[in-house]
Amino acid sequence: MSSDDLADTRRAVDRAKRRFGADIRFPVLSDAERLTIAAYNATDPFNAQLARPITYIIDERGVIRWKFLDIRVGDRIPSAEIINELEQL
Amino acid sequence: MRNEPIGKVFALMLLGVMLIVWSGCGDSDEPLVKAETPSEPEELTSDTPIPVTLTGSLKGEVEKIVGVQFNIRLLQDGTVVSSVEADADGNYRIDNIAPGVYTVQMTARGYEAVEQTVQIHADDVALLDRVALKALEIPVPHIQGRLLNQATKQPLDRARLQLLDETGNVREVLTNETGAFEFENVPAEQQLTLIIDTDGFERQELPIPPIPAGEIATVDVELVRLPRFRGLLSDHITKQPLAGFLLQLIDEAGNVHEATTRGTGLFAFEGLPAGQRFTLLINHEKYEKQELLIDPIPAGEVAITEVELVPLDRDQLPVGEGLEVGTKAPDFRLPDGDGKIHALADYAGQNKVVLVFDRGNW
Repeated sequence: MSSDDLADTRRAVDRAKRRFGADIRFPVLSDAERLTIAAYNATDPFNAQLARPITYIIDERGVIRWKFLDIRVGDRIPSAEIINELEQL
Repeated sequence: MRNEPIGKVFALMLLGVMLIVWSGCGDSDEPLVKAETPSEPEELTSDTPIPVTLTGSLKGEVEKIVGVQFNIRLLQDGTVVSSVEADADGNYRIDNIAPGVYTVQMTARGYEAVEQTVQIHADDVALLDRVALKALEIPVPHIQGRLLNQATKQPLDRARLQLLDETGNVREVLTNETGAFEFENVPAEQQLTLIIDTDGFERQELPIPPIPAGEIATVDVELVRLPRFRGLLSDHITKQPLAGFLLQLIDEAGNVHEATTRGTGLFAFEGLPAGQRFTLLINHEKYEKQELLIDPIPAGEVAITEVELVPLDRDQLPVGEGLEVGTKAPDFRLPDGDGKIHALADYAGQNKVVLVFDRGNW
C-alpha cells in the first residue's frame, strides 16, 4: 500500500511483473487520500505526502501481532523474515 | 423397647439420563462439551468470600432407647436448616448456627416427634432439656433412601427433600454426608410425592405409591446435574489470565446468568437450563466487547471454552512509528491498480494479513 493514485499503482504492478517475469499474487493498494496510512500511523514524519515503510502482521482477530519499521531508505525486511514471524504466531 | 418392623421394602430408582458427548473443535472460542467425571469436585467453586459471621451452638439429650436412632432437625420458619443424628447415648450437638429463634425437632421411627423452641446466641451454646420420646400406638410406614449425583455416583450432602402427602402436608429433611435421608412416621396408605429441588441439579417430583403401615420404602435417587459452562478468559496479546471480569450468559428466555473470573482467569456458570442456546457477553472498558453464541449444553454435562479478549487502547507512538503491537488494526477499504476494492474485514477470522506500507512512486 502506498499513497500512489490508481494509475501509478497500476504502473508499479506492471513494472514489477516485467521485472520478475511473473504475476503478483497479492493486492497492491492505492491510498491516495492517505487516510489508511494515517490510521496506521505510517505517515512519513519528513514528508506527509508519503507513507513510511512499515510492515505489519495482523492476525485473524484483526489485531496487530508484529511490526517492522524500515530505518533507512531502501532497507526492506526480507520476505523470509516475515514468513518466519508468521510461522511463530 | 420397640422393635423396628421388618416389612417389605419398596425400592424405587430414578433411571439416569443417558449422556451424550460431543467433542470440541479446533477453534478455541468454540466450547467443548464433556460428560461429568467422578474425579470432578462435587462442590461448586466460587471466588465469593464466605462472610464471617458469629454463630452459636446447641446441645441436648434424648432419653436413650436401645436400638432406636434419633434424628434431630433444626428448623427456622418451617425450613430445615440443619440435621444430625443423636449418638448411641442420645446426646446431640449442632454447631455453626446463625443467631435467632429455631425449632428443634426430635424424632425416631415409631415414636412421636417432640419439638422445642430455642434461642441461639452468638458464641454461646444453648442447652436443651432432656426429652423422652413416646412410642406410637399404631405402626406407621417410613421412607429412607440416598441421593447421588447420577454421573459421579457421589453422595449429595445437605440436599433438601420434601414429602407431600394427600392432605397437602409437607415434611422436609436434609441429606447427610453419605447422601442418606429419612422421613419417619409418614401417613400409611397414602399417595405421596417426593420433591427434590437442590441447587445445580434437575428438579425431581417422584410419586411414591401408598406404603402399608409398618413398612419401609427405600427410595434411592440419582440426580442429573444441570448444564455447566466453564472456561478461561485471557488477554489475546499477552495471554495473561484476566481476573475479576464479569461475564454474562443470556439464555433463550432472556435470563442473565453472571460469573466473575478468578485470579486464574477461570470462570464457571452452574445450574444452567438444559437444551437452550446462550449468548456469552463480556463487556469491559479496556477490551473489545465480546459476544459469543454457545450451543445448548445437555443436562449433566459441562461445556468448556477459552475466550481471549482483544485490548482496545495501547500507547500512542510518535508520528510515523506505526501502531503498537496488540492494537486493533484499523479496517480499510482501498482499491488496487485495477480499481478492485479490498477490505481488511475480508480476511477477518480466516487468515493472517501481511500489510506493507511503502513510499510508492515518489
